[in-house]
Amino acid sequence: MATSSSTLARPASVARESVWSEAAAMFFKDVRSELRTKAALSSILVYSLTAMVLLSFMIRTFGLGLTQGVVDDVAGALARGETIYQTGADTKFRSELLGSLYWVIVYFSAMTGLPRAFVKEEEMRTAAALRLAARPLAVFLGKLAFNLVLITSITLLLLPLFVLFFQPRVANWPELILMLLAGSSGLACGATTLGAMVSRAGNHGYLMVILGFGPLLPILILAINGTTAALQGTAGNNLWGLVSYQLAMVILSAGLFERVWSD
Amino acid sequence: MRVWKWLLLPWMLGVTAATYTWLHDLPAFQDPATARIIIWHVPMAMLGMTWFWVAAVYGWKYLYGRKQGDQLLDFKVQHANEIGLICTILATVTGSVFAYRQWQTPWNWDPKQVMITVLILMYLAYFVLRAQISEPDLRGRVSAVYSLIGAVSSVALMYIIPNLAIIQSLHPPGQTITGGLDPNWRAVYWSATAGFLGITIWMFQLRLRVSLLEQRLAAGTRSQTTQDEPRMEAVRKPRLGPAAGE
Repeated sequence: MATSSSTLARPASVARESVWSEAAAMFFKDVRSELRTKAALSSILVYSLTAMVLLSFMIRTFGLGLTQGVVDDVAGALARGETIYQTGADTKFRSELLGSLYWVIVYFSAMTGLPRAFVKEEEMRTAAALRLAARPLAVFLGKLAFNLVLITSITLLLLPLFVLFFQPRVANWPELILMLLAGSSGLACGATTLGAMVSRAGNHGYLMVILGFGPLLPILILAINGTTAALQGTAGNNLWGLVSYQLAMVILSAGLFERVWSD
Repeated sequence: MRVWKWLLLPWMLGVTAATYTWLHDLPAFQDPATARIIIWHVPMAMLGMTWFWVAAVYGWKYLYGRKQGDQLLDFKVQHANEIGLICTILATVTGSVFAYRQWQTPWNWDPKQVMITVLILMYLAYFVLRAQISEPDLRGRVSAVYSLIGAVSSVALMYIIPNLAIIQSLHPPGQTITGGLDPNWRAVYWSATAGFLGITIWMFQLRLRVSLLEQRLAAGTRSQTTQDEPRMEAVRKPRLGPAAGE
């Protein structure tokens, strides 16, 4: 009879699952609904594609000083009768330009798409049911996992297009892919709690862009520097700085999430 | 009124006089006389960060403290952020004035300059966020969370990113104020910081009193319809008197 009092408080049939299995259920629910509508994926992808096409013909990224450098010792080269132009690799300026352009495109498109995870719940009026059904931490982890998968797939889809439109001459491919994935997962980590805040503040599209700016800027700066370094093949990526800031953001926003989410 | 508030005026007059008469020019600068900007500019930047962190602490108390959800704490978060914002704007303006004399341009995309602009934008976004939510408790919670996230990322923005090896700054590294200046300069600098701290605390208290009065005023107007405030009852009773007597 010792069990009867405990079953009174919490019947075995509705015993709560672990946070992890709740989070997994949350994640698979979001993946299924995303595969059905492709709302977040298509909005981010088409947004970034538009921005990429626009920037690729509005900003000159080919030519002298960009794809064609000038040797350091111009007088010496002229005296020896050699060419003063270097055409083998991108100049540092071009790598910086392309790195910045890539991250500007990804930042703005991610900021429009990532809050969808929460805004959708408010729009479909499923948020209240979700608050009853799952613990806040499970919701946070599920949405975080969904955002991470979303932004990773977008990065992998965007990279070939970026290569097509801007034709960077990449010195270190593995490092480039690593930096792109690390930077965009950083955006997803920061944008999860911020997305919940946006959804509680009336879903205004512009709000995420201005709210994310400060907290996500360290990630953007480190990602741009790392991308430039990978394109140039020089040392100077700050992967550990990026990952540790990202972890700090995840821990902080996981702790604070419950206060934003609950009623 | 507390006595320290009376002391603020002579104190800051003393600091100003000392800055422009007692302190000598710093020849390390291109325009040595304008180096006195240190006395006004650096305390503003420091106090800006300090007030953002004060706001974050009040935010933490609002979210998790003993007086969780107390509206007074929400006011404190809001006003501490306001004062932090004023300080960072003043730091940017004074810095630009100095940069104009020193480097002939008010803006040179120095990392600290960019970062403090980011900080200003970040806390302007705080007020935009507040304006979007009408329910007081939710507004308090969401903006307190943003304030905490903002304070943590502001440390990365102001102290870690500008000091990275990959980034070149015109600003001197951190230890200039504590170790690099001569004792006279340091004495005046810290006196100015203390004075400005006093002024901002006073401003904070005044803003808080205004908010509390506004809140009481709003409560007062509401009680005219619901009749839940005793003072309003006292006003109404004589008018009701003759009507009841008839």
